[in-house]
Amino acid sequence: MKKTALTLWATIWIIVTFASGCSTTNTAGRLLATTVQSVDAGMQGWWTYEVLGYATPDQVALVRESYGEYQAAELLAEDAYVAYAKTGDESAWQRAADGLRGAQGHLLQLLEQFQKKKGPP
Amino acid sequence: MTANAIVQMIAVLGPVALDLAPKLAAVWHKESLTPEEVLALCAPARKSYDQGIVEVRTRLAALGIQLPPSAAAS
Repeated sequence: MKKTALTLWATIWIIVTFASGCSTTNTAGRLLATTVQSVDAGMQGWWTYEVLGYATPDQVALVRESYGEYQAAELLAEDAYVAYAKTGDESAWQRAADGLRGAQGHLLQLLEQFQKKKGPP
Repeated sequence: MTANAIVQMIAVLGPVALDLAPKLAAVWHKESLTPEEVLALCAPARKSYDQGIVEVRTRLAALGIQLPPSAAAS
């Protein structure tokens, strides 16, 4: 169920860990930006899938809802990140980051699940 | 950014990973990243679902790809 999210996070971890010249300052901000960029990439693929006519109305409704939940979690994470950057208090950021990871994972799981079978409508 | 990591990303995300890989590399290789820069990088999250659809339609049309009648009409 969480294969896609785990695979994606593992991939991102690999990139972060083994990429040469990797900077480790502001890790929270970099992780937040990485999450947003990764979800946008996944959604670009989904939107293409939908525009080409492969997605069913039910699938679109579910992804739309999940995307909204992700956006709400991301806004919370941004606020928590800004507060963390200002005050150094990491607790709210950690909670928000966990929420964002959960929303991202659910969204990416749906995208993988619905795009498994591709073909003409 | 290793070749294996890029291949894995492509396997998970498809061709969009080719656009994503350099973006992620830019995030992690930058010497310092201010909160303002982080928030700027988070701009894609502001995109509404419908804005994403319009964006993709525009890109596909620019590539000369013909959309199915149901997608083109809505």
